Amino acid sequence: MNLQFENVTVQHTGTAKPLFENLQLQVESGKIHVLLGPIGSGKSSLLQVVAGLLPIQSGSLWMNNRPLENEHDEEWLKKFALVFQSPEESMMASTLAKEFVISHSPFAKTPPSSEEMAYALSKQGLPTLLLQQTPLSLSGGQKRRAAVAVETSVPAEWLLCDEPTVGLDGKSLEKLIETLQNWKLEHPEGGVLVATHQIDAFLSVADQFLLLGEGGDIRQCHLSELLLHPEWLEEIGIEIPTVLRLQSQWISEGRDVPNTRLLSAEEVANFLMEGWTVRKPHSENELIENQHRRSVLREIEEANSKTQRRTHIDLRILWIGTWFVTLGCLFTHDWAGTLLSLAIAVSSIFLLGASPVSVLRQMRALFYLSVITLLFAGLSMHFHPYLNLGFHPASMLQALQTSIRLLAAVALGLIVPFTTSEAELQQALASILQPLSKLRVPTAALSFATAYVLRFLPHIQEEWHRFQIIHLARFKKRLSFWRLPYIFVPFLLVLLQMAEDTSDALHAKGMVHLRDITVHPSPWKLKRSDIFWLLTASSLTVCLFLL
Amino acid sequence: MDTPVLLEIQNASFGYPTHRGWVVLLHNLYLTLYKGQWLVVLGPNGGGKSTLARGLLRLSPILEGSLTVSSTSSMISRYIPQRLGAGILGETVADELATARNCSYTGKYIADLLEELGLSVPLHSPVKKLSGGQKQLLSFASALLDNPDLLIVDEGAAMLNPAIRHRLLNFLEKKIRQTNLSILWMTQQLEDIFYADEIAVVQNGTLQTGWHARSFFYSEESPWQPSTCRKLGYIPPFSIQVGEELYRRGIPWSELPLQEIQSLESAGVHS
Repeated sequence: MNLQFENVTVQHTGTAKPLFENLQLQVESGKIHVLLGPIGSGKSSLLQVVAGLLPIQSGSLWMNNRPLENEHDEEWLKKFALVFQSPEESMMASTLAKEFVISHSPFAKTPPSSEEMAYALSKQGLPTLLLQQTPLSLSGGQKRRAAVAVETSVPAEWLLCDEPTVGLDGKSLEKLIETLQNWKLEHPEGGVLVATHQIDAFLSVADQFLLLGEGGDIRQCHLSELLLHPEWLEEIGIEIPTVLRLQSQWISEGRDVPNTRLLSAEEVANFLMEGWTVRKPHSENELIENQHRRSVLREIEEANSKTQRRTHIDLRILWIGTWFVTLGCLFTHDWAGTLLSLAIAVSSIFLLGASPVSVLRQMRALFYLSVITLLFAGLSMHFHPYLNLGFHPASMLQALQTSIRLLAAVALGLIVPFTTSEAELQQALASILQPLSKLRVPTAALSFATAYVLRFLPHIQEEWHRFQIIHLARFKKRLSFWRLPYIFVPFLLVLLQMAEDTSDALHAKGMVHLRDITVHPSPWKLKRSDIFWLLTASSLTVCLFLL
Repeated sequence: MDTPVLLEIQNASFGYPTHRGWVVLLHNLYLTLYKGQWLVVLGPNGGGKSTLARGLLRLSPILEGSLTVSSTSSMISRYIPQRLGAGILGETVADELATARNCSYTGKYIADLLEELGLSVPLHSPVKKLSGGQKQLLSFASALLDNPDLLIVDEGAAMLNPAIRHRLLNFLEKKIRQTNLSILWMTQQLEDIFYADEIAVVQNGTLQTGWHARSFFYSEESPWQPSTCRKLGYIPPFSIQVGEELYRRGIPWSELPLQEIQSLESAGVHS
């Protein structure tokens, strides 16, 4: 059953440009397709879209007249077996046998028999006794092969592999190619789709190449076309394999060489012995690299211009100032004060350079709560003598006042975090905590750790998101509370690994003990502008208190 | 050989701690690292390469044997881990470069360094907006600013696009010539060997060393003997496979191609 992309647009939330726009593609069944693109080009995302793991923004995906229903289409998910990058990281069970049970559970009520499991392992060259062992005790290579064994034993139609060759040695690579070919033969109604940046291993087995270019356009071609146009690979940032370069050069010179299959090393050696010459590859790589660099530079400049730099106020003054004004907002009591606090909040956001969109997004929950509160505030219920529901606008207006003041206070509170970089935060924290250092408290290390944790949080979020996708791919169902333990352990292991890498890197940078971390807090020098802002804040606060 | 020695390990063992005590992962290690040497270490993931790195960086104690650094002042070593961007501390490119301890370099020196590495982004660019490859280059820039004596790199170029990879490797070669930097380059990609002076392999808990690129890829005894590369279970790159065939057709060992096949032209391949 062929896969059809109809005008599909994919965009990650929070990015400016879509990954793929109006993509039209047909992936034929019964074939091995290789999706080629440099690292970071969106191959993994495309694979996840195909498998039904990532939502699409517009357009539709079809499999033989059956469209993909967005959001956890279990029928669709069951058609795909997915081998992730570093599949060993997604092993979640206590024994290898249980891993098989997990992957088979969406397909059948009865778990696979030990013969079936042993057979799957043997196809990857692994002994049966591993079934009762915990996956964590296997070596890196064994883990990877075990993961492949588990996934390829599943009764899906399509096999999707995400960067399967990274970190693989020669023998395992051969095994992998064999696995792909077997799947293709055993699943004529489905096929194989491999996303990779290393084309060499797949040159001779791929039926079709999908070249992923910048901007998300995909060029479909066969080996014979690549032999005529090896520059297509360079255009997408993939290095042309030696054999392809040689063969295409000789084809263009009109030599008698095959153009539907690749030459073997022996054949090339024979030709060289006959005196055939080889051209040096031109360094068009420079050209491609420059193009790439320019586009990235543009992206970064755009990102920079979006974050307006606020008028430079010392962070401590800003912090204290917003404290004062927030207190004022909360303590003012009539309409004049309420409106003034609203005005202060809104103008501060714009003056100080916080992004209104992100501030509003954070306050969404509070908005909903306020609306509900307003409705309830207006209602009045009398139970005596009979149930009577009344509506009192006066109490609603009172509640509205309070809500506005609260919203203004929260908005003001969000200004500092949204306009401060982690480095500034670290500095400020260090200078505020400095008096404590006399008491032998490692203040520099504390402020460093705080700032670093803030930067770590998005990585942790990314990893959690990745595990959610892995869970969806294996269980074909959304993550539920009861299945949380399954991904918690591997997730924790990945975090620990990240922590270890970070501490190694810190150690290697010379930060071994707490005392090695030095942050030089700038002395508290009040500039004239700082005093100005402090006075402004104070006067506003006083106004609010009086009103 | 009068090339100065950087460090030497003799009969060393390294491992990792468990609640039952230390588990030895690598044993009977003998290695001499010279100044200005590029040593490539091959070995599968989980086979002990990172244990070796941590041992050499003194992050993990030596369980047996000795590790001697023959230098009057202490050795500066820097580490680029496998996980992209794991060691980056700064929030912007400038912040990260400022964490280099020895930041007495002028702005121009830094700008030139970044240019040569191919990381031409504005200094105030936030790190989280950089691509994976750019983060890797930033890790290199930050490490090199400290003028280390030893640079240990784990899968340094695996995630880089080919043009950037070539540029980085050429730059590191130049750096070695200029400052006598020693590089320990751990990889799974055989193509990285072409830049190395010496090759070592971590296998079964031990370290085997002593090959140059040519002696690793082509057997010195006869064209029909499996080469060290093949004996260790690796499949050589295509140009080496062609070289093996040429060896069997009579081309002398010393003229076999190492990187590009057109080097045969100069060897006078024509019958």
